[in-house]
Amino acid sequence: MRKVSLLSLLLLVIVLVTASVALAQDQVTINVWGHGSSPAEDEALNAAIAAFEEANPDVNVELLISADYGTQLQTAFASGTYPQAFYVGQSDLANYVNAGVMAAGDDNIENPEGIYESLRNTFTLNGTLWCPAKDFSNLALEYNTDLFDAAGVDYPTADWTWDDLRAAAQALVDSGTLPEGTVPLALNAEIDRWFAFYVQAGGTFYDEEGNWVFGSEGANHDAAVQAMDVYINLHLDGLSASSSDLGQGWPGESFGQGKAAMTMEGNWIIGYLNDQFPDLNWGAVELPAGPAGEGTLTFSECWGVGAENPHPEQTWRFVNFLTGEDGAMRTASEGFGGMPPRVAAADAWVEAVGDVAPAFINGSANAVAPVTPPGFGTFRDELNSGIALAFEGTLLAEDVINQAVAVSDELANE
Amino acid sequence: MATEAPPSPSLMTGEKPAATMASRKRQDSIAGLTFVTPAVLVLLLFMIVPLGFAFVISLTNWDGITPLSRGAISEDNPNGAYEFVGLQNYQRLLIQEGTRQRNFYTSLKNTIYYVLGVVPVQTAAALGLAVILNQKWLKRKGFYRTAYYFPSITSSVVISLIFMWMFTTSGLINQFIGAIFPSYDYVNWLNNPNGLIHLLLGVFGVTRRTVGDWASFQVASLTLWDWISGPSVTMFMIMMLNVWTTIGTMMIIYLAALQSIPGQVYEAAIVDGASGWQIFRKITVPLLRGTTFFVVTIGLIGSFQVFDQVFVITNGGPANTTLTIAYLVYSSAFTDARMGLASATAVVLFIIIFIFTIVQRRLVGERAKM
Repeated sequence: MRKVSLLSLLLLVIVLVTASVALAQDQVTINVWGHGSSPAEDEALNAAIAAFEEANPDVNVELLISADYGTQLQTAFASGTYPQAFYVGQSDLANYVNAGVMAAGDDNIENPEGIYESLRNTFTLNGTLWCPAKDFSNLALEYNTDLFDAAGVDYPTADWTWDDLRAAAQALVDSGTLPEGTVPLALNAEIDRWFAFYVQAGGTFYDEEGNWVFGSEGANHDAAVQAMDVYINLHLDGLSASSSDLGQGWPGESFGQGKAAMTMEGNWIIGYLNDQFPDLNWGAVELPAGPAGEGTLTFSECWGVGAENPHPEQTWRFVNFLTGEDGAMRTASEGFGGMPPRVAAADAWVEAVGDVAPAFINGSANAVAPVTPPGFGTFRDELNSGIALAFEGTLLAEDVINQAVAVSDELANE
Repeated sequence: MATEAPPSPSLMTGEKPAATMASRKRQDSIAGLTFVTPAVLVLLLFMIVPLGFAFVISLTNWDGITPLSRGAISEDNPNGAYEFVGLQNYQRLLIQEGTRQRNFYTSLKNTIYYVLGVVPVQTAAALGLAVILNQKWLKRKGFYRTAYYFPSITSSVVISLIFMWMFTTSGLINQFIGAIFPSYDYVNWLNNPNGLIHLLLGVFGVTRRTVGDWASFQVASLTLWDWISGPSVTMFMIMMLNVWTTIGTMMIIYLAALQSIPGQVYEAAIVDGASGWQIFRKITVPLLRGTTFFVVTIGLIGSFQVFDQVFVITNGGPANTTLTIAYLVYSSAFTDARMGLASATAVVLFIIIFIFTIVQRRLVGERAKM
């Protein structure tokens, strides 16, 4: 009896050792890079990776979270040795695609129709869908219910227009109930807020063929000037102020501290306010509509896959695990960070987040990503400083747009 | 930039009577070379090679992303990483009218105002502090020295963040001024593009509109009115920050030099009836000329390369008034994906620093050899 058990034990050990050696030989390692987010998000990513590795024993995932992510990734591309999967910001997509470091996602992304159309558009370039969105954020209008109640002004609603926004802001001021140093709106001299007005005025960034058409003659130009006029006048009439004038780092902080009754931020503000200002009473609705209807901005990142990649099949399996229906449901149920990229998971996200959630996710129907072409950093600077100068009263809306268009034309011909 | 110190004179001079002397000399030079080899190798690998590399890149249109291993673009290799474009990047920066030129000259203007403000102030203040801390009557010298040196050894990012908190609209500085002058209208230090010279002219009623047509005349894509703006309020804040952080290092250098001045010199001067100010003017300052040359040189180089504070506090804003040359290099390379242009900017910055250092050497350095 004893002899048998010893023998079987020995056999078992041999089997186990050979099995593990065989497994180890089949196992491939894929390198995955991302930037740090909140500790909770980093933890969720690690948990998702652990779940993937358990379901796919043949793949080992090496995750590298870096602080100076963009610079590090760009240097890795330049050296020719770069990770198999990595975050790609919407503004970096064109740069990376043009550099030929990304693999096309068309045939590899699981059920692309399930992804929001606005996100598919964001990550489509030259007719190719390059990568599946990781998660995303839309802008909405947040309002402080206490300040509205005190002033006796009705809360914002989803069918608000620009005029309603102005009227309510004016009513807040006229009521005299706003505390000293509090303004109706916190808006910075930033193109990424002004662009929302541009979209609502009917402006587009790219034509049907994907050519950059900002501010050219005709409708786009008029939309740009009209949007700029509204945006600047809110500031000049004392209805809005920038967060640095109010003494905070960003408009969300001004809003949280009660220095502004309204602001226009994305869903990243939800976790921030819950965390930093748990006693604040606030609500959110979709952005007001402009002359051309509803419109909001979307901000997202996708999971890119490297072009020169020894393990494409495993990498896509990993990316699909994170961004497919199940992955989106996982993102949704966490209820922090970005919104899940798939329509099917929207309800689960709303349930996890609560009352303010629909305002953000409903905007997806008419959301546009404010992406400028590669090398257009100067154009963004030009608009940013133009808006800042217009806030000071030294430039008119028309001048800001004309200067930006001049820069845009020049860069497009470079 | 730093030239190698000439070999000690004692090795060079002396009679050379016999062959033994020559072989001795050869041995000495072999030993010398052996000692400097590691330093030279490090210098080559980390300074000279990257410098040459940056110069080569500056002649291309490389985007800084495409793997360099793909080689140059040609008919056989359409997916290459770069194309040689000759001096086009330099032309865009320096000569061709347009956005790139305007950005470069804006950053040059900002950097020059910065250097002109920071270098004299930090040098003079460091000398003043060092002289005071070197006085025999001063008690608790160790405490003061530590206090003044502290900002220099703290990370510039941390110091920048502390300054941001101090200078925000509701921050310490405004509260302090507001407490003394109740009518004070809070200044937004971190986001104020108004130039100091413009503000000063404004006090006398001189503005862009009243000053006349010459102000609209464009030189290098910037109007003359823009050229004479002076540093913006936000830039002025960054200048104060940098003076404060570098003053400690400069002070230590001056202190070391002060303590090497023999006491007899001062005693002789006192016997001759010199006043304190005369001693300072006629003895301390001249004897410190070599140190001043060193302090001004490293101050110039450091100021021309100012980057961290801009990166942390303003990202070049508001309205590009804190855009420095070093920050322009970074943003062209990493947000604009124009590595060729960024390298060209870096090479131009190198040449500017080189010229300034040589000029400065002529002005201070020649007389320092005493």
